[in-house]
Amino acid sequence: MNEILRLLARPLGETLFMVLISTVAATIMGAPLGLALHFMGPGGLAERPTLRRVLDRIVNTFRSFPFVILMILLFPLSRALVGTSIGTLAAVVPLSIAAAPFVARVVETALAEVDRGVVDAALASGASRARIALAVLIPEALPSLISGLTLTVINLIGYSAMAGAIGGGGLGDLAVRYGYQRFRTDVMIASVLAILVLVEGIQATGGIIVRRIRRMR
Amino acid sequence: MFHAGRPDEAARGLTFPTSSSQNQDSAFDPRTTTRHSTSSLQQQPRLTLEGLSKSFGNGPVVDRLSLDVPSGSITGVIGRSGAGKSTLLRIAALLEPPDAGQVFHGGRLVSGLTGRPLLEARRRTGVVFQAFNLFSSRTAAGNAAFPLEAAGRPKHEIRERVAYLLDLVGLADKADRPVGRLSGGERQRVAIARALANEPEILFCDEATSALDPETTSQVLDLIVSLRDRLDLTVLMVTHQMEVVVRACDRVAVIEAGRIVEQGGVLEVFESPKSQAARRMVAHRRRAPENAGVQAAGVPARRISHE
Repeated sequence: MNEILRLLARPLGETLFMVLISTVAATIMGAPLGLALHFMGPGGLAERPTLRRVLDRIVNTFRSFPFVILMILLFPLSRALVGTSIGTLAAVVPLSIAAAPFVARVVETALAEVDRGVVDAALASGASRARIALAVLIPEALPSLISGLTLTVINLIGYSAMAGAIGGGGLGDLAVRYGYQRFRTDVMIASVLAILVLVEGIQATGGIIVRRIRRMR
Repeated sequence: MFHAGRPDEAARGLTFPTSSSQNQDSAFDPRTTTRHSTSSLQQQPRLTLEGLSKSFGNGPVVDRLSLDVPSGSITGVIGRSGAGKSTLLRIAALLEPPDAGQVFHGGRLVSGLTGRPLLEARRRTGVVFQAFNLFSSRTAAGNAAFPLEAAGRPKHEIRERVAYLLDLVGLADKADRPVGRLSGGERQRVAIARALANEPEILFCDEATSALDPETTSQVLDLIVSLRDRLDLTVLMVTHQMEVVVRACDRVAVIEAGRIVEQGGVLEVFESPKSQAARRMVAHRRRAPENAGVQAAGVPARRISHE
């Protein structure tokens, strides 16, 4: 038992590292993209049908790529950005790029739920588009944004296990190298359980935050 | 209607003296500098709509519509659903550009503005909506503060002004409530406070009482009338309820198929309607007195002033 816990510690840290960094990076890339999709959409505050169609296509293309293939395709980019295509840090690059379009859709959908009348009220108050985005749309959509972000993190945990399988480290790596290749079923079960606990914990935390915000309103 | 140096004007200056929108205007518009000083200017409309047209796909919603809203008046625009009331208000409040025609606020041409000048022109008006359209992520005070934040006012000034605004609408004790925990009438009061935040010259009300029960409707209308008197406001009120016009408005314009078909003092129009639309409205109300919601609340209608 002790041995298993010792085996789990480092991969768990690696998974958390990969997921955390790529969530932040994906949000930095995806959130502005989601805002842009919302603003350029029909009836939006900056309607740009053609540009929006292009962005929409790009987002869909990246979303439909199987992650394993995306990861291999992005080896050169990982090497260029972090100096290597193998390891935990290198895995962050494809993880972020795979999650960014997901975040963009999450943001776009969440903002679309904000009542148009509220935006009218902000416009009538003489607010700029930037202020409407930051001080109205995002706070109004916060519960949906957090729900969506929770989903993103959970997806990333799944992806990170895949990244682990091809040299990214983390719990997926442990499950494959120890559990599968060395026939250590106990290690396999332990790593799967660890991932399960992680997912459950994040889902529960997200749910609690969303409920708390809704209750305060 | 107006006298130079009204006591209310002075009182308002005292409560919130810094960078009043009127002062800003007067810097570049000589017509507004003497707004209260000569009797001839009393006749000058605060809001003028000239030849407005707007179409959405199937035909015009607003059709070469012109309307003058006298300074200091509460003018009602009444019409059936789909007559073009809301579109008219959205164009007048600069939320929607007209396909053709011009909008003047206080003699200044404001239609066709873009960028910063558009934002500034919007800050000189306030809009109250049927569905309140409050920011659910903010408290009552936070909602009233929003236009001031958008105008870049300093924090201490915002705090002072918000306290004044909430006091004005009788919600001083509910400043820190999330708006989701306020009643319908209270929410509309918050919306009025928010609309008045930047000391607008013109207040637009888009079916502002249609979501409220008769008693609350009366209270909100009385509040708007008293605010007009205290704050030197000009109010354009769009509604489908005759009772609202009778209770709150000095003047009324009847809109039908995107055009103003009749206008004048409220009594004049409703006692001897000339247009078919106005006659139909009056006849319908006589047939169905139980629908006279506002008066059913047992509050006497306020006296109608003749122009």
